[in-house]
Amino acid sequence: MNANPNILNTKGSINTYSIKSLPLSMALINSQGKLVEATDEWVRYHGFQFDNINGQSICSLLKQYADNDWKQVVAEGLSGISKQGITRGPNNSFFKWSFSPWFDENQNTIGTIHKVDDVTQKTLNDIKYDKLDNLLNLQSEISKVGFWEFDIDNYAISWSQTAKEIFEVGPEFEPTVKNTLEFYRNSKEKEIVKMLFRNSSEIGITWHEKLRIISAKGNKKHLNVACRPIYSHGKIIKLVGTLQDITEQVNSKVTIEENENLLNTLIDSLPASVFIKDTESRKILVNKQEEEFIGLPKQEIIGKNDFELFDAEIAKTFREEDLRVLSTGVPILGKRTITKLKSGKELALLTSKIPFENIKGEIKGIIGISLDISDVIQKERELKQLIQVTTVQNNKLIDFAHIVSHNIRSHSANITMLLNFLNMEEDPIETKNLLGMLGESASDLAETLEHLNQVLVINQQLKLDREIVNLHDLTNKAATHLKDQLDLSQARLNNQVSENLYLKTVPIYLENILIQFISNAIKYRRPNTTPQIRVYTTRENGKIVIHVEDNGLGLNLNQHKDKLFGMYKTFHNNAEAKGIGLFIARNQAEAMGAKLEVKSKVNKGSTFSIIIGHEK
Amino acid sequence: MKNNSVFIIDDDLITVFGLKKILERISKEIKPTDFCNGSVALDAIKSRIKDGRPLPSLIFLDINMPIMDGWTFLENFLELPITQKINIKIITSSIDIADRNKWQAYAKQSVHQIDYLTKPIHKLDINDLAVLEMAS
Repeated sequence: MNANPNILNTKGSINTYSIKSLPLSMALINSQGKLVEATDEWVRYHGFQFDNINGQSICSLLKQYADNDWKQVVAEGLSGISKQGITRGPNNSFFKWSFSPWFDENQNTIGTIHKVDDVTQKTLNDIKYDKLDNLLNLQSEISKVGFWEFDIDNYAISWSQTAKEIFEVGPEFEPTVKNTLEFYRNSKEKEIVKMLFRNSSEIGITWHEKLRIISAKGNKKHLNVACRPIYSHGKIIKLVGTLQDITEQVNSKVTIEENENLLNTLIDSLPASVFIKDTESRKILVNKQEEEFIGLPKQEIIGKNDFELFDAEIAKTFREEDLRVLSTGVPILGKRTITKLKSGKELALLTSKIPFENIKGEIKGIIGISLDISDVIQKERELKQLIQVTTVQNNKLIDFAHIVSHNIRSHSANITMLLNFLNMEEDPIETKNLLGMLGESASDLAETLEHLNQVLVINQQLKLDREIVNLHDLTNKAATHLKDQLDLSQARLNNQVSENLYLKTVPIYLENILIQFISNAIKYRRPNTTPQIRVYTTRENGKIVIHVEDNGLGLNLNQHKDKLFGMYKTFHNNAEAKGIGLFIARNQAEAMGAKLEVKSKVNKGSTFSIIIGHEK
Repeated sequence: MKNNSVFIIDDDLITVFGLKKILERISKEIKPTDFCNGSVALDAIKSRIKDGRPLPSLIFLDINMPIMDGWTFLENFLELPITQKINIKIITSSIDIADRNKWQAYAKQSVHQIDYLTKPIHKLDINDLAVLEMAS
């Protein structure tokens, strides 16, 4: 490509040479603002076509970079003033441009030299630096992180603005090693700081530490201080680091810890088992009582489900409760459960299970509160037993009052009546008759008193002498007592009691009861029928029941059952019936904690039974 | 027609003796019949109804008796189709309030006159026997 002859001609005397291939990006502009010549680099940079640019107005060429008023700039350049600037170039590049006066040999301005440098990289770096700087300041401001620097050689310390704010000193404050140390709260803290600095400056240790200061305004603060040594040619020349005010965090952490402590203490000291379970029924929190209840330390309970902690039976109950609460969201409140443990002990619990939700309202687990009420239940049972005993005693008292009222009074009333007659009687024969009846009444009264006395003796016996007896032998013994009656009635007694059955009982009472049963069987036999009496045993709820079965008269239990074991109740037209035998038998049975029962059918026979107790 | 029929239902022979003696003193016309329990007395009444014979105007009734006691007798008796008003005197040695309450309950619900006398009985007033048609 030739140098432009036109321009050469135009410029006349100026001896120009082609600048085209100079390794620079520049262009020469004549006084009319027209391009005289440009280097290849300039042309390439701006992306022009070589053929048509020479002689064109520089302003129109640079028009594509709209962010400058090129006319103004070029005009100033041509008037001999140097101008420069940075402009965004093609392809996201940045270029630095300048217009400097173009002089001829006589120092006359004949145009302007336009120079361009691609400064893209530098500009980008600057922008990045600015950004980072901004960010850092922003971060420092937001996070309250201050910077500090310690120049070892000069023994000089410097703080950033934020650092000064943390120490609550003004921007004019000049930190020194000495006054910096003063801020630390106590001598112990100061020693730590000194030691940390020594370690860093001498052996290059990097550290960060929580330290406490008292600010210039007297506020107690917690700082997170970090330090890192800076090396130059293998030698530690500086320590740099950060300071962060963590007072709030520390305080809120303390508050949280205090609250947590309070809550834990509260939960732990509740006189109930408290636990929290996740949706899989795994324990995620337990209190002391629950630890004791399970018998394992906390760390061995957390994360385990009930099947890993309890008997399968109980665990199943617990899990079913959990699932119900989890699926329905309805809490279980104060539910009583009684479970038999493997050890045989009974466990009674009063349990509440309350679902707990997360912020979204989803059920995330169960809060459980459980009270071991085994003792209460036991006490309740004892109380019930006591009430039962009291009721029985009370009934006996009523019975007794009844007996006294009916039986003793009837005799005494008779005696009174007879005496009254006797007083008015003049006929000696009738007098004798009355006296005879009076004697009868008196002996009846004595007999009644004797019977009552027997009953009283039975009921007053607080401690009964219990012995282990063979039931088969005892039955035989009772039969021996009734030998005469059995022989007379030609009754057949069949002792079917096992020869190996032993019982702990009150032998005299049990023997008397058997005698009563058997003698009743004989007394109330059916006429013209050989009495068949069978004695045998069965078991009812683990208790031994002795039965005396006969084929006698039987009786209508619908009418008589209530009265059967009462005093002076007789049910047959039988001269021997006194109505005292079964009454005494009942009292003896009750005294040993046994119970009498009867089954009967008229003209078929009766079975009298005693539910006595466990085998020995 | 005079009806001096009196029933004594009591298993205690001395009471029966005493009552008869007292009645005899009042009037020789009274002819008491005694029964040793409620069951035999009830049978007798039923058979009288069946045969159309006169029923007793006065019944002395003991409470404690074998086979059928006084209360059971009373219950059965009150169910019988009897139009005639009969005076039933319960004779008891009981001082049990429950017995007294029971009597009051029966007395209220019955068309018959039911009285409650406590032993010992020394004598009866003529008014007690108003139900009997006697030459006084």
